Amino acid sequence: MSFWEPLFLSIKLAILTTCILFILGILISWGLASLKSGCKPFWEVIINLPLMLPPTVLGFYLLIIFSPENTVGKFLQYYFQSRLVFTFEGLLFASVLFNIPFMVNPLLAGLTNLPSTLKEASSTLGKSGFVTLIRVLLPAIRPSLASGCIMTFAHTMGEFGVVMMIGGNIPGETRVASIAIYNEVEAMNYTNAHYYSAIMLTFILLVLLVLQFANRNTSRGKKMRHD
Amino acid sequence: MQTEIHPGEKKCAMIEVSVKKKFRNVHQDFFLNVDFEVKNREFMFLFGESGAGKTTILRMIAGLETPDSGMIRVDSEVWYDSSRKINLTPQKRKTGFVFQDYALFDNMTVRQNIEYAVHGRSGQGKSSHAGLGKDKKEFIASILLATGLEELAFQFPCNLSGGQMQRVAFARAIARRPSVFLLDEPFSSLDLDSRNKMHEELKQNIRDFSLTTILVTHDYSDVFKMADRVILLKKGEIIDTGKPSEIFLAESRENQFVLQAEILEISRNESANIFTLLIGGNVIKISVSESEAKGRSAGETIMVASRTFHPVIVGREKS
Repeated sequence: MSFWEPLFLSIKLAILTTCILFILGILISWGLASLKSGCKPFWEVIINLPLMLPPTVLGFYLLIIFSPENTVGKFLQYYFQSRLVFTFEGLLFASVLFNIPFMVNPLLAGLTNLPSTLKEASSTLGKSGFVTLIRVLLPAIRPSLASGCIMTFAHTMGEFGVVMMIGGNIPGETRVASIAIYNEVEAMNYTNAHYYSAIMLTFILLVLLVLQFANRNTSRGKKMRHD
Repeated sequence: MQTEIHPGEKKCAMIEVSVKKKFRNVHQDFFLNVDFEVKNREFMFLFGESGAGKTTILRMIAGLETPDSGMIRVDSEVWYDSSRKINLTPQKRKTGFVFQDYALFDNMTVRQNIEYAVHGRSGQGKSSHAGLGKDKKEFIASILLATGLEELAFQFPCNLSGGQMQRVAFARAIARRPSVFLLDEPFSSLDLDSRNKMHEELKQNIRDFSLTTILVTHDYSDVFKMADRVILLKKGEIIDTGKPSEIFLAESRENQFVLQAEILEISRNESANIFTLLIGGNVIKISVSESEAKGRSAGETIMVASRTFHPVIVGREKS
């Protein structure tokens, strides 16, 4: 196993998770923002569950559900000849699930803070809900979209608990950077652990700084245009 | 420039509205129960104090709110009928709606905002201009010209003044080729000068485009300058309908002034209450008796009438 492999695996996982959640997050937040029934708080709690839940709990349940001993695992094995436990695909699935609030919350906040007249104006101009979403609402919440993507990406890079539970520690398949650090420390190989940690720290710090500056520039640009 | 959107000189009622809806305003729940008609190409005003139900009526016509019961028919096409369970979506109702906050799309230029409304076309993207059909390009150009927006076509809404934004909202609503043109307090965020200018422009444009229009306002100057007919609303009920002069000047006589004023401040000296009023851009103070002052508060709009007097014209205002 090369030194860089866990880092590349982490980046691959983070990019795929962000891409999948970009689409999924837009659909979920659009659905939630349009929901008028009393069950909206219930769905918001479900969406935010991964924020409070220890990652090991989610990982444990996924491990049980996708185990080839159980119905879902058996079904996947029988019909798709695939298993989600201890594979990269399983890791990706868990990562998407675990990062839902990091993508959905900024998008939901952006959509609910938009004036309702934007959506109404588009509908009186004859445009469907989907066209309104793509052409009017999403361009109006670009900073929220950027926030959601960067938060999801950065959080996936640092994931440990869920990865450990459902992915295990298979080199080249599920050993991402955070697991590699743990491995190196366990093997008393502190030099490599330092390298991994320093690279991760610098990378995530950079991502968060970019996010901060992007948000500042967007809000300053908006303020200047309104002045 | 004359742009006919709905040719034909129909004399029949074009819009028929007969709806009921229980709704809540700031203070209490009450019942909206209205029944009225608007003739073809008529400029009708819904007038009343805040919370009277004016905007709710407009939103029900546009399909943005659903009445509890009743019927809305436009040009013999039923848009809503509770007994037959017909309720067209806003997309299927041909309305041009100008919102109080204009609801312009900040990510699109003025031209793209208008293109967005042109039926059957996607209007976004910098190259969309080239992709439009010739007729549509001419149609959009005619709207930009008629509304005086040609020079602002490639500006974004956030760089425009209040009056310019209003023109864009108006142009975008026209681009929809509406059967009914609905305006919800379109002048409320404009200063007095812009307001007076926009009165003229709007009236001219509505005439040019032959639109049947319903405008919501609680401002007397809007009504007197533009309305063919006005419906006076109070707490969800129609209390009067007719020409502005028939409704508001019925009891006024020669040399009597009836002015709309906003109360800026209420103070009291030893003998009387003093109201500081804003009337037509001027601030004046008047003494008010105890009974007249009762229940009034700053920010409220009132009518101030003079007793008989002989006014003297002292000069022309410098412009």
